[in-house]
Amino acid sequence: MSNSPVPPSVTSTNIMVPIQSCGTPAAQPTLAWEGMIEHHPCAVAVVDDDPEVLESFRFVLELAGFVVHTYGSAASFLASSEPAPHCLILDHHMPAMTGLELARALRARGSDVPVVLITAAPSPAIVAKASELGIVRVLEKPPSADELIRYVGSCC
Amino acid sequence: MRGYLAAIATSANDAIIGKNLAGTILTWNDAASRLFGYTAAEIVGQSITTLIPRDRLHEEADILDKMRHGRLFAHFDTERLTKDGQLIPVSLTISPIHDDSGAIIGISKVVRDLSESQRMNLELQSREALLQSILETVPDALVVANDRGVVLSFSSAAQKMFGYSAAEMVGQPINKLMPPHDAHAHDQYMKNYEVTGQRKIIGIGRVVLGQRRNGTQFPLELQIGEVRVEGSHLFTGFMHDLTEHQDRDRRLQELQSELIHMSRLSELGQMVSALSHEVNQPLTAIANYAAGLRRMVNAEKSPALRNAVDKVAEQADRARRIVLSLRALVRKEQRQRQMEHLEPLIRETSALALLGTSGRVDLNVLVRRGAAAAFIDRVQIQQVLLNLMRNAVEAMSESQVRRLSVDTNDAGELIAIRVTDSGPGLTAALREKLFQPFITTKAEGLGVGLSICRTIVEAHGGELVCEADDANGTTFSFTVPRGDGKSGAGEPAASGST
Repeated sequence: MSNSPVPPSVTSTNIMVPIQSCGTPAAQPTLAWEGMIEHHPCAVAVVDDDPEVLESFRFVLELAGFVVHTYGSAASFLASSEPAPHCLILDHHMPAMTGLELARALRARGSDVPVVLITAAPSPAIVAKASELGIVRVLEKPPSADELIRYVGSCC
Repeated sequence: MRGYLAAIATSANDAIIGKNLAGTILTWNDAASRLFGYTAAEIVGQSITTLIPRDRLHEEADILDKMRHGRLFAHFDTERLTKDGQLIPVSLTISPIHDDSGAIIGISKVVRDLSESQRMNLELQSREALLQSILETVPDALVVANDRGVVLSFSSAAQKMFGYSAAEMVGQPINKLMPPHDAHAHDQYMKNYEVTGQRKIIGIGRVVLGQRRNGTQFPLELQIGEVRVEGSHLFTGFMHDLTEHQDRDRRLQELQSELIHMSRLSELGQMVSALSHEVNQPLTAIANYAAGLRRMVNAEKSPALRNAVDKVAEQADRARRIVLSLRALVRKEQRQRQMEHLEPLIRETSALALLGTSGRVDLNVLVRRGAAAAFIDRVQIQQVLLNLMRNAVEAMSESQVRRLSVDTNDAGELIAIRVTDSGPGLTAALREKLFQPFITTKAEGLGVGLSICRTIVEAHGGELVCEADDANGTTFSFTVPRGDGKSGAGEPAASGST
């Protein structure tokens, strides 16, 4: 699948060179995911050290029709025996191992799973590091659920 | 005409004496009376030898002899006797007096009193001696060097401060008193100054590191003055050892006032940091639940419920935008940023960071090619560095090996600055809390925590992380935009996709 241009939005920062095969469909956003997800259910993993935030991601993503796995730390994700998800949502600011560090570890293992990185301060430094790891979506916290669902849906 | 000349002679400030060839005094003006103490009535008719000390009588014979042979001489310095037997230094100007036919009929002497200028000379000498004794007693070290950096004078305080004797330092290059890297930079600096006349330190004063004879380094406050006398170009350096307790406190106070200067930003920055990192968590959850609920609620069957859920989502988004605008406000409050060379910035900060450290800390600064200049707010980034370095020094207080390294690295669009210590590493509890706002583990200190450091670095478009942490030491690393125009770092990344 090839990506199409999207209008710039306040909460997202797009990088020029995505390595994954998913992107944002050009069609009407909310209608797009509502239509397609029901027929193409897919797995998404969320890693965030805040359990309440984690639970809210599960709520909205499951309602959108995804199979959702949640992890409270990078280590617990790395230790899980689940098959690789279609898309991975990472909180950046986590103690012990940050979202970027987890992404780097995954790339080192040869994984090219599409990653959405969520951070309170998407600085150029973080965006630059993310793009080195082939992460094309760096969303400012709190992310727009619609945008998140749209992107995850495009990865399936 | 004669009366007119006489009037000039009378009112002249120099003593003017006329005598015949036999040496008898014929005229005597007021200035002569003042100088020698004789009135005209007392001395006119007397021999000139009355005024000449016994051991200089030959001078008079010599003068008369030269006059008779038609030789003129302008003036010479000698001594003469006053009425009360005092010897006074004088300068004599001697000219022949001719009659109408041109024959010499007498001699005029103009006598200038030299004792005034001699007294000034003596005064100058004693003032110099006084200055010398003051310089030898002030606790500040004084070093004088010429424009080639060669030491000309090395005060006793300097000898105590650096451990070199004056004999060891005079004639030696002044950069022997600096750490090796500064020594090299100093040579370059002096060359530059000679060519460009651009002052970097003269007349300003700053904190630098000195190096003692035994190789240990210590912070000192340096004031440099410049003197140009009769073609020679000298530099005077006053050095104040900052290792002592009270000076450390004074410098830290100055630094703190700089901190207060930016504290408004810091407080706001800290608030915003807390909002971004903490309040955004529940906001994220609210937005997620609202988005999910919107899908659950059938808009046609329960329009009121759907409307309420939409309102929850809207209000969560409103709160999100408040946080965003606060962050934008902090960004707008940025102080002036400009291109800064990292080497002197790190050097000065390290001198401050090592203030008052007891015992030796080996400092290693490495500014790599391609990572030497950054586009930053100097004071803010110095606060970050100072904070990281003081934490590092504190962490090593119990360590055998105390090594503090600061290096800069090319990180593409950014420059990464690393601060590494050889301490025992962070405790697990500390590591968890490291960047949390409003939390400090220290009872005292500068009061600017890592959370503020992170706010400053993020405001520069960079990131502050704990890069390594184990029993061999801890490394903190932060990134700042380049200052060499290689990229537009600090700007938002380009929008769009392929």
